[in-house]
Amino acid sequence: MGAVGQLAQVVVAGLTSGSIYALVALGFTMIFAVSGFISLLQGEYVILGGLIAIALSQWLGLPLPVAILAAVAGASLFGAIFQRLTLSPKRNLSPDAALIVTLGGAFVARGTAMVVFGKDPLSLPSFSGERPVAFGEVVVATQAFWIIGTLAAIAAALWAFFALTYTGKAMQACSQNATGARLVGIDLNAMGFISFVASAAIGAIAGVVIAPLNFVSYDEGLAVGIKGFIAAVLGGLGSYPGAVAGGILLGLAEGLSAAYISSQFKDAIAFVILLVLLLFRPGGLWGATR
Amino acid sequence: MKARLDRPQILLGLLALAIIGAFLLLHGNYLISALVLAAIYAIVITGLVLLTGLNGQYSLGHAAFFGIGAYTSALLTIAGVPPLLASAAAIAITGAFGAIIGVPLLRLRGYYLAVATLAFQLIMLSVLNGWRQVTLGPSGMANIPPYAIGRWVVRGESAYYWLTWIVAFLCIWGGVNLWRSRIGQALLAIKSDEAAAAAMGINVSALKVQIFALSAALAGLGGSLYAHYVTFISPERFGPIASFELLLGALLGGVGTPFGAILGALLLIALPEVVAPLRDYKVMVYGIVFILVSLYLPLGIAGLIQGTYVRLCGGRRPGALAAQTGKTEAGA
Amino acid sequence: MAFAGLVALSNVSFRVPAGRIHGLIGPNGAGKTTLFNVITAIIPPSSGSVLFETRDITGASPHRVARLGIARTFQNVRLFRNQTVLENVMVGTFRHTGAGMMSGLLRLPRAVAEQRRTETEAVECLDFVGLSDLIDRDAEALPFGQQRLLELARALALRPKLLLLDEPAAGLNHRETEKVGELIRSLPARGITVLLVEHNMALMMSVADAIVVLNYGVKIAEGTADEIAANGEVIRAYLGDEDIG
Repeated sequence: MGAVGQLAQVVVAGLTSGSIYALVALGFTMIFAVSGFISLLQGEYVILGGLIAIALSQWLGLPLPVAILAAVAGASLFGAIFQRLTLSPKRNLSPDAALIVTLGGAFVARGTAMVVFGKDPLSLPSFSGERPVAFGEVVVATQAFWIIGTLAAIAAALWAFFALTYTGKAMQACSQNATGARLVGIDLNAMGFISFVASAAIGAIAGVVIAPLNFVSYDEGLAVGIKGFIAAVLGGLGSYPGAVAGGILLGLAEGLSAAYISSQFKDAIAFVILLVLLLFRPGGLWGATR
Repeated sequence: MKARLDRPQILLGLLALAIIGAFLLLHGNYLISALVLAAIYAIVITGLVLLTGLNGQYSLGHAAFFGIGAYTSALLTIAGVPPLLASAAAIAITGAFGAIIGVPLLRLRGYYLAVATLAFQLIMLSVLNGWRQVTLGPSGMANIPPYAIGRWVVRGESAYYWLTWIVAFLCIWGGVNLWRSRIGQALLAIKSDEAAAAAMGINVSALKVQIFALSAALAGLGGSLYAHYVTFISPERFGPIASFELLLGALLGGVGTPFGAILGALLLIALPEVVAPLRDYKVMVYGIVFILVSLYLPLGIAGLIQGTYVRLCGGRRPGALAAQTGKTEAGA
Repeated sequence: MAFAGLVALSNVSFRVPAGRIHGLIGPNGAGKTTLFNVITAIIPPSSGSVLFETRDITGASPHRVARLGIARTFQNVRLFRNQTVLENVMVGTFRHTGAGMMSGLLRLPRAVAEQRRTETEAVECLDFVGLSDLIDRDAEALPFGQQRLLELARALALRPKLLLLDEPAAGLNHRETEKVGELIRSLPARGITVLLVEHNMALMMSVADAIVVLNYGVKIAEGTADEIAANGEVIRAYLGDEDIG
């Protein structure tokens, strides 16, 4: 395969993983924008979504669409219950305290996943069959289209939500000015809840859609979450377009460095990016500094 | 609820007595080895207590420093360096890592540091696993030489008991001193109100970096002792779950006082025994306990004890400083 | 000084001579606290400079400004909630003490001796404001008037050359206000220059050697208390707005 073909291959792979990071990043962004803290549960939803879908379709034989819906519902339910029990605004938690609580939640999720689904990595069959599509020299798994397409669909849905619905505008108001929002009658409590559950759903969808390409294992939640967080910071924490852009960029950066520099420390690249970012541009690549 | 130390000299004395007493009681019993581990954890958790209790920062990846300390010490002693020097190197290196990470991150909001420590933890894990030429990868490193001070080689549970508990005692003592000192009080001020602290002439970022580096160095010290005690280390011992357990120990023991580190370490040793029948559920249970402690017991069990003590004795405890200089509290 | 297009202070310029009490008044929103924040480097000015003892300190960081000897109190009392009255004041001595983390950890004799001296000095500051009975109380348990005095004691512990007081009498009753006035008047004798923001005109007139008047971010008058009271523009500025006086 020529150099161009190889590059294209790497780019496709980068876009694919980048889409997942973007989805996770959207979840982080939503919670941070509305409620002001970082939820370390974000990565766990990806894992839970994937594992539930796998368990329902592979072990219980349910049809895939049903399994997927149930997985998203299940993860959202987990998020909803968790939020009501521990993070409701009545408790008046500082952002640090909330973060710590979500850390505990992440381990509860991880522990539960281990007990219910076991320690072995599991997988799903590709949605459109295993035969990849070829564009000249470049071979692309069909699942990649599903993944990138899902990102596009969710991004569009979010855009429509914020631009066209009352709830969406209310949520944006919350993130811009909490006091002002409250004065206008917006229920911050409800907004916090909705954003938390929505981010769980988005995470679960990401988990379901990546499962056919990667094996899903109970203990990957934190790592996935951190990468999504890095993507969110890359694009400017609190910006939805930034989250998407950051995710894509991170995926490409990882893919390119893994292919052309070293594949062994692929994960380390992302973390190094984070540290460098926080050092020089904590506001993201095009955000205001700080 | 105020977190202050109540006549620390008495508590330190009690601690010393307890250390001696436990040895006399359990000498020869398998529980001694559990207590050695407890001492090592206490050293590491003291660092976390100082970081969180004194300065309000959270480190979610402290096992990374623990691991760096362990591997540094192991590698150096295997190469022939005397263990004391290796420990010193471990402390210096982890302290340096702490400072390096701290400088950029401590200028930002607290949650950036917390997530960055988690990221650091994951990097470290992947380096420990991936850098096989040096760390021998996931299969771990064996045959680590025992600890030695000068010519005295430390062998046997009893010897390690005394080694680790003397070091732990010194760390607690140091922590108590720091809490009541000029820097400790400045850190507490920073925790309440950074801007007001700066208005007093306190260089907030510098102090935050210092305390973070200190807490990292303490973890490195613990790691060094750990490596020589267990003689076999592998990367999985220093992963996110280990960090989580250390943080749980600190929160549960109580971040309001260095003595909380002792309680936390003992609980960490005891909890697996309690959870044994539910072994598979250990992580889940830890997560739930963690959440409960964060929400309902912010000063941990040590805080609970301090609180009940105050209520039983009625009235106020002397402030930390009155206790130090021996002045009695003036009137009500 | 402009915030994103809103001009908070425009061409405000004045000198505070050493050893005097200088007052700063103006209707709400005139820019007084902004001025304090610029001086203490909490925010950098968009133009202009701050000179302290002929040294340009514009753009320094807040802790460096404090280290040079400028102390302040805050409009909404910012005490250290986790610490006692005595501990709060002792933190105020930070800038002229030197024990580092290691000496603290190891309880070196020099650090211990220094802390004894610091404690004595803190008790003196508390004596000065009349709070020495309360040294072991939690700072946040104090009633508001005493919290203001505590903040003053803490600022004095810094051994400041210049003390910025941001509405020290706000929220105090008549007796407490008198006491604050007494304390302020005794400061120049201790070598401390004072810049005072106050809405309580009686207090201001009784302590200030000279007063600067701000309105909408612009200096509209400067002079002695009598001159200000007779200044037409000042009167208009106050009567034109609803004022607390």
